[in-house]
Amino acid sequence: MPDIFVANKKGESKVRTSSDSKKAFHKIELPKNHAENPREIFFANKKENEEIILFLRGHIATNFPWIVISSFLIIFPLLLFFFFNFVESPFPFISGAFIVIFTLLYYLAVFAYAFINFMKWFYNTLIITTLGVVDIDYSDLIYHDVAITKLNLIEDVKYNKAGFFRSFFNFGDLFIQTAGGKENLEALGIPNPAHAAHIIANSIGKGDGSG
Amino acid sequence: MQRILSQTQSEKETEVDNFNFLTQFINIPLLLKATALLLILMYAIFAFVIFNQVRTMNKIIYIPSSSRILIVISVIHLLLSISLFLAAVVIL
Repeated sequence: MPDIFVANKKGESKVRTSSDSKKAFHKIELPKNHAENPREIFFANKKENEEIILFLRGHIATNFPWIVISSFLIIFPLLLFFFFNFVESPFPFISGAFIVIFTLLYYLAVFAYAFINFMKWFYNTLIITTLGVVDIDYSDLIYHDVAITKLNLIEDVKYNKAGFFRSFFNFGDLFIQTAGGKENLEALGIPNPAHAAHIIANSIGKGDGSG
Repeated sequence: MQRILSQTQSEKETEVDNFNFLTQFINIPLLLKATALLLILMYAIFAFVIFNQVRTMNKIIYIPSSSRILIVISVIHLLLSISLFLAAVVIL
């Protein structure tokens, strides 16, 4: 007799095969600067019933300055080597081994510069959830700040988008004013700030009642 | 004209003499090696700080597809800096 309903065995769904983990490993995507209702993002202090409505980080165009600087820093030693082919070296006592080691160290430092700037962009995020707003600021290698505000504590939200590039690429700054002495939240250089402001404005007063 | 040339030559000789006098007291290759090793060691510590920071930030916010790659990159960066230090010890 065919089975109409077969109950799942306990723990069967939680078992991950090696092919599953391979699939997960191969699923590499470029980091997005905004996402609506993302399910795969986790943050500290996330409650079980809390769902992310909007996830924001700076527009990709905000990365242009450090990409340009890094590109120049990559090319610079090549120009220097080219120059010293024609001119006598002012440091004759420096051996070839030193030059190789210093060049490698220089390129590692350039990589670190680019990587830290990427991290600044990657970790500077604003998350709007069903219960509140989470602002993660990562401004330096040794400094980060996480601010969480409940939706019922938000008093005002505003955004500005000034300048040619900001208008062209449609990104700007978002400011969230909170009640009383609570810290105000800000998200700088986010894509489509009007949409984010609209979502937050619609959520004001909702959420958990306990302040 | 010849006087000016001889004057320039004597100035150059004085510079070379000064340099030789300095190198008698300071071992320049050794000084350079010590400086390079110190710099690379400091850089390796800095690379470890970056790795630690990525780990800390991944605990605060975790995006499965990208956070894992950042950890891998920071580990590679740390290993490269340690390798550079070891290479510098051997080569220099």
